[in-house]
Amino acid sequence: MRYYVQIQSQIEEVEVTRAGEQLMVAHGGEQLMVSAATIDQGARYSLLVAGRSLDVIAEMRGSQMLLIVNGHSHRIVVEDERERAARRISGARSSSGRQTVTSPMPGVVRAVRVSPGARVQRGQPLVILEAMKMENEIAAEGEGVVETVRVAPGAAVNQGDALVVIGPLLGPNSGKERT
Amino acid sequence: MVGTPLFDKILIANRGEIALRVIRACHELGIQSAAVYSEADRSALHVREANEAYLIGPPPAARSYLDGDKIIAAAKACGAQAIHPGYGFLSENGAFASAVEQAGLVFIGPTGAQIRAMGDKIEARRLMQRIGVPVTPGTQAAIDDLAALRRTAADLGYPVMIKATGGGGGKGIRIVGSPDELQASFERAQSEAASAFKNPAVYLEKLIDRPHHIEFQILGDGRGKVVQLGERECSIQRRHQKVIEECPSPFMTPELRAAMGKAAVQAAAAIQYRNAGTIEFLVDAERRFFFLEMNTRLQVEHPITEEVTGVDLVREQLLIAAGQPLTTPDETPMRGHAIEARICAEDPDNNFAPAIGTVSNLDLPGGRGVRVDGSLYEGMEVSVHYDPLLAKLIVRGNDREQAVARMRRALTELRLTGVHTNIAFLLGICETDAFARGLYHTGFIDEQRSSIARAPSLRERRDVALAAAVLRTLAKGQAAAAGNGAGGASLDPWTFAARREQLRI
Repeated sequence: MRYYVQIQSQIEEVEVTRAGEQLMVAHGGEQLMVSAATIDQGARYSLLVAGRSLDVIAEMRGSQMLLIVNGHSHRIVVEDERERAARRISGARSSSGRQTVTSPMPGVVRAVRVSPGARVQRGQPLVILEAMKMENEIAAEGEGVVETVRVAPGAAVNQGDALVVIGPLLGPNSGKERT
Repeated sequence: MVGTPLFDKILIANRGEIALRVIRACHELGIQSAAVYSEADRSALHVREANEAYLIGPPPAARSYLDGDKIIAAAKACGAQAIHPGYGFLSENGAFASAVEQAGLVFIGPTGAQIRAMGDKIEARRLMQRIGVPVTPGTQAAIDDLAALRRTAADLGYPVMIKATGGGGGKGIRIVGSPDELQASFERAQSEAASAFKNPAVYLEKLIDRPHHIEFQILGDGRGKVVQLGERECSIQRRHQKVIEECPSPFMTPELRAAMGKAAVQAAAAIQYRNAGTIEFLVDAERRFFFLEMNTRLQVEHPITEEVTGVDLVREQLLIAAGQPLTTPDETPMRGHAIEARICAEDPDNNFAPAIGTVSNLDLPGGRGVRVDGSLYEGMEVSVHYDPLLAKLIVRGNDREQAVARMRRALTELRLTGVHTNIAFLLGICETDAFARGLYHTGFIDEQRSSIARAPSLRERRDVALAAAVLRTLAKGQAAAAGNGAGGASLDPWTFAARREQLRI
């Protein structure tokens, strides 16, 4: 089975096949034998990759994964061939490409930095939220144009409440995939 | 334990790692510990480690850990003789300290009057000037008039800092680069100060170029004797909040240490300071030092002083509070090198937004020279109600190089899921060339942001990709085994999956 692993916006292709009690893994033209031991209920594993020891902790949420490998954490996206094909089809067809930016925590809106019609970049601050005794910038996750602003300064919000809705830059069928 | 305990019972008016720290000191001295907790902290480590624990209110701090009346009532009800306030919360609340003593209990810290004297930042500056301790060039009085502010700023020379007189701990500071920013910054600063500190008064200080934030630990017996235990370098900061601290300071020289140590002792002795405190200074590139403020409590980063001096600071606090004379020598020598990293529930990739979640898969580092002062445990719920500090990771080495290597090792051994943390960010800092060489000032994090963000090497990318693919494969196998419900444990997961999916893994 082939997997596509996206690490910091670049994709690695990995093929996994069974080889007796171990797994044979192909990547970048190399073939490696992997022995895997489950340490705890499916979240922790010890992998020996051609003798190299990898201590792995994983948290999976759909195709997104948080992996801690030997103490270094990575947020990645993993898809097998079927999932990747399915996503590409739905991506081309639907593509409202709309992002609803929600509040990550309960708090009070201190300032709103954008208004409808504004074009925003990835990482651009949208709302200043006061929570945990600090001011927090809530930023856009991708490029787009602000469609609606759902809050005003002074509004108290809960985790998950919509703050700003951002539509795609171009029209539908722009073919842009969300990373 | 020889002799009678200093106190029979102490109530700790705090939570999290510092409550646990004090509880541990109590237990080593044969003192009963009484904890307080809010509804959010019922399962907290400090509750479980204390001898006794009492509920004091719902989660919001204002109705629990900040409610001085409830805390004093709890102390009296359980028969505690003394209250330790920790840091934050009520530790620098002069009214609380006085109320504790009026209730017939011992406040483990300075007097209410001393807290108030140093809590007013303008008053503290004036006192320092009177006794000859250098202060950052700035105003003598609070300024509430824009025209006066403009004139003073022009005299000092831009850039300047507008600071809240009731503030402290890095909060309520605004940097003004040029005259056209002044009005807006002034208005924002006043309103922030009013809401955060209930006091809109602000004052002005000159911004020191590329400063080091270096502080000195002191202990006072309350009768005029003060000793200093050396410095802590705290310049690795983000928005004025400390991230990594170390001692001794790589920027220090013996002459500077002697001069600053003397000034620190002078500052505390001027008010006959009682118990533990810290004098914070800014040091410019020419090694001129200026008094910044005094913190009339135990600091978060106190463990690094403990590691290099061998002094147990909380134990010293309890001894002083029990009326014992100071036995720690002045200018206690530092041996070796210690570094502390603050592990926080925040997401550095999302502007350090505070994170919430449930701690899982927790691995704590160990081995020689590693100390974790934390309240972390598997299943701990991290909520919005309190500070995002999860734990302090402290390492000690024979020299700075060893300490830095040890910190890197310990940070990779520290693992957890369920809540975003700044572990990768801390590791990134420790791996920069500037940090390795000890060459940094308070602008470090801003300047080095791109070096701190690591891009994984090719080998690491391969490891991560392999691990992801293998784990997906195993998860599929385990799901298949569980779905079949037939004692899947007796079959290795991928054999089972292979059978079900006709050898397609």
